[in-house]
Amino acid sequence: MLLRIYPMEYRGWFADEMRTAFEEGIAERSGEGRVALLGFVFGELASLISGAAAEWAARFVYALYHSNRYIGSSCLPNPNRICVPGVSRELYAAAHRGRPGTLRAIDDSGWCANAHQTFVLASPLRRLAISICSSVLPIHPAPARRGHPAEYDRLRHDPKKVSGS
Amino acid sequence: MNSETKPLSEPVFLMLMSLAAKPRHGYALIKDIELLTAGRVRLTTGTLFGALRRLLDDRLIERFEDEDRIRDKKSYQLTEAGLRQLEIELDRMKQLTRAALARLRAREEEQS
Repeated sequence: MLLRIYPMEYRGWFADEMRTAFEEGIAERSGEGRVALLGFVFGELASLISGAAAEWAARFVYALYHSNRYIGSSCLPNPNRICVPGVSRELYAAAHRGRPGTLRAIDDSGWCANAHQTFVLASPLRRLAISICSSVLPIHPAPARRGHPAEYDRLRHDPKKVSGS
Repeated sequence: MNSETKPLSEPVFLMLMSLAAKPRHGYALIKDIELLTAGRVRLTTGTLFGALRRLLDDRLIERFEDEDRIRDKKSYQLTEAGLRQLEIELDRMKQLTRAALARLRAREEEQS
């Protein structure tokens, strides 16, 4: 029940695994006496609460700049939106053709295709809010570590590869 | 400091180290890390899955369905980027260890 305090996307990804890990931990600790079991349960509860707070914060920051899910599809263009000015055709096509697991479309400025798309389609007021927020909260917390995948760079510099789309 | 060389947190480093040997599911990671650190570090569920989410987001690990298992469990494995990150971290630690040993040796020589 405590898993309900996590964001919905997070629960969709990890709830079953978290439940299984917790149950296995309980089964293991139950043979070690009440004190060990209680210590384990309190430790788990504290970590679940702090973990949920961290996830909500991550989701909130992500939602400021993006329009898709913050896990799995993060940073890829939202397929429900049309290709708009400000997002290059190659980038858009490359992102749509690539599998989310192998492609990350962050350009040289550190903005991903989804953030571009969101900014271009936003109302003037929201654009202002995004501009102000981005000076305080980074759009991508660790851009260098995410990097450009080789496939993205290849498609980006070879438009023929995506001309069919 | 370049963020590419920014030190990894201990739980993240241990998780990458554990996954370098072979793919594992969530609880197996907790157990292996406990073993690796001789019981010093026991990750809680909240810490483990929060870190797994960030590693997935950074494409340092990937998740797949493990068909061999009786229970429906997802397993995690290191990506090329994850392996590279682990190597960078190991190089950083080796460099620090060498520097620390050199300082200790210099101190011993001064005292003797």
